Amino acid sequence: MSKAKTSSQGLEYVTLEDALSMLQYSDLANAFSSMAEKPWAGRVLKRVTTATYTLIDVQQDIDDFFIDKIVELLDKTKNKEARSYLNSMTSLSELVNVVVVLHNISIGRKPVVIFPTPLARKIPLVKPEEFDIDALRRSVDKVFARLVDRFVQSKELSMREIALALHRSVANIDKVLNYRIWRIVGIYHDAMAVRLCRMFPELSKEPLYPLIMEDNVFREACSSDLTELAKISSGYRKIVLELFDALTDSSTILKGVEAFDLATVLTTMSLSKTLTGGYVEERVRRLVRLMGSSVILKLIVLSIYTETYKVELQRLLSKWLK
Amino acid sequence: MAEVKQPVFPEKKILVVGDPILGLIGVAAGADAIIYKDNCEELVSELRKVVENYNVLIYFRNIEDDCKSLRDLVPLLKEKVLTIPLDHPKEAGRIDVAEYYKSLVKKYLGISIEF
Repeated sequence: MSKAKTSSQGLEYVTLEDALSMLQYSDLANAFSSMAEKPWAGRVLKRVTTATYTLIDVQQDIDDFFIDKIVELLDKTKNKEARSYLNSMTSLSELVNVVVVLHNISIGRKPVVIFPTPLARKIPLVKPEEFDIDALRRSVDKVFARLVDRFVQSKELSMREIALALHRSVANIDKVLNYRIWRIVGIYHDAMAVRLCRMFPELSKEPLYPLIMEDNVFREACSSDLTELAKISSGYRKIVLELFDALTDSSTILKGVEAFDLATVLTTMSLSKTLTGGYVEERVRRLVRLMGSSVILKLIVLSIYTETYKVELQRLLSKWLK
Repeated sequence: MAEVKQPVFPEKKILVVGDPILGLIGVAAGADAIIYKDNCEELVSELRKVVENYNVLIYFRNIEDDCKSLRDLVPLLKEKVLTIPLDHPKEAGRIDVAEYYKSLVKKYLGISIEF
């Protein structure tokens, strides 16, 4: 019974074998048909074989599948310690999405339909033309309700509230309780903070406290050219260098913050392999793999759909997904 | 530098990977040892070469934290040997380090030691 459960959970992820096998096809219908037994393939397979579709439709199907799985994982995780870690990771992921949505509204752009990080909960289910800030306020994580409130009041993003939301997301994470999980949440927090301060340079003026990165490398990551950052291969903690190494590889396919987002996912997925001890670690590992699978699958779809970067993607996944 | 000591009791077939203290204890108990000193790639290439000669691998879990190549190799190692990851005493919380090593040795190598 337990073996069957484990194997069905395994099917939820996109493995290296799945990825390499799909990349052999030149069209999405055949690529997803070859994965028909995988739960994540169902929705997309139906779409690409029965009607005309756009790339965004397929990417949203993938988002929807993995968001459902992540929400299910959160609902089923009753253990307080595990919940605390999962909440930190999901808050950080959602924070970036909320900030992007609010930023777009503030400059008169429609809310995005594809989100930079893997978790957007209810946001992507709202069509841009039906977007309603009050509905957003009700659906977002309570950790950054104040950020949305301040935005509603002043019609602009409060950098101070973004900084506070970053702190609040990791306020309950204890370094001593589980060092290995702390490292993963920590690097994810720092990466999200870097991403946000690259979007909004004025955020650097707020008090930001990286958990893993040394302050100087954090400031450098916020302000310097990402290609320069990717070249750094010594002098910092190994976990940070691993992120930069992933950034070098990601930069062969994506540019700018998108490459940074991918590097963040690859690093956390690789680090999650060190989580092997017991229920709490298993839950966090599962979340990281679900979040990662969503990004990887969207990337595979993009590559097949646009017929670009197949070789680069194969090389990247072979290194990071094994 | 990674160094594989000659086995004192070849029939034991235990390989210990860790800091100098764990390595020393391992060798004293008749196991072989590789000392890890930030030499990730060297360690992994050595393990690939020698793992077939062993049936138990005891290692400090924190090596995986900073050594991506070992992290990637562990699934393969698990297929070949019984792997026993140990928490480094630094991480095991507020403990008596000498007692911690003693208990590890007793549990995994089956001998009593005194410092």
